[in-house]
Amino acid sequence: MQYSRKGFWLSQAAAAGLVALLVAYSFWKGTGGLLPYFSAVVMVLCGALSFRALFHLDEIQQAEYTHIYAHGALIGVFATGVLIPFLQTQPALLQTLMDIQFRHSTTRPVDYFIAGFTLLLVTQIIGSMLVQLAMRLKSRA
Amino acid sequence: MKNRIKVLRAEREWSQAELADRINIARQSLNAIENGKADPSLPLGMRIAKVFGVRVEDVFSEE
Repeated sequence: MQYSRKGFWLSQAAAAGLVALLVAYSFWKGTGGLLPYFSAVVMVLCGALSFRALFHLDEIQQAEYTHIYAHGALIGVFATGVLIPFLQTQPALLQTLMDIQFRHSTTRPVDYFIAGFTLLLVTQIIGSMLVQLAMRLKSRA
Repeated sequence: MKNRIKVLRAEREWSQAELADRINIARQSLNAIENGKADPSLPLGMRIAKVFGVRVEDVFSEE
């Protein structure tokens, strides 16, 4: 696929729109109230659009984005590895966070599994944003 | 890797945006290559040399 600025932004905007839709839906229904198939379909579409966006970049941009994602994902994995044992020592805080995420009091194992996955996803996104920020600051220095 | 893109571009009075359009990459990527912050692949290097009408070794050289 050839470099196309328009193609990249269209695909990325569509993926971001779908994520926003999913987040809005989860806030409305509570994460536990989401239809599993709906989330799965949205995530597949989102993944496809994100890959499409990546292939619309030129090789220098692709290398930069790959670098950002790889390092951000590593930060996310290690951050999750630190946060989970910390939350295990703080059961009251964990329960409060669970209640906030699911919009009702829950102790179902599947909800803890979803929360763990969400934590990994969120820390990876934050990690990628931090790497991007560091690269911007480095290029300005 | 050193390169003479800026010189070759100036000789032809091309802006970064114009050259980036000709080789079909983003202007920011061309800027990164020009300033030695990123190295192009061999196919891209050949494309750059081709639009200038010179050999690859006339554009890129070792440090």
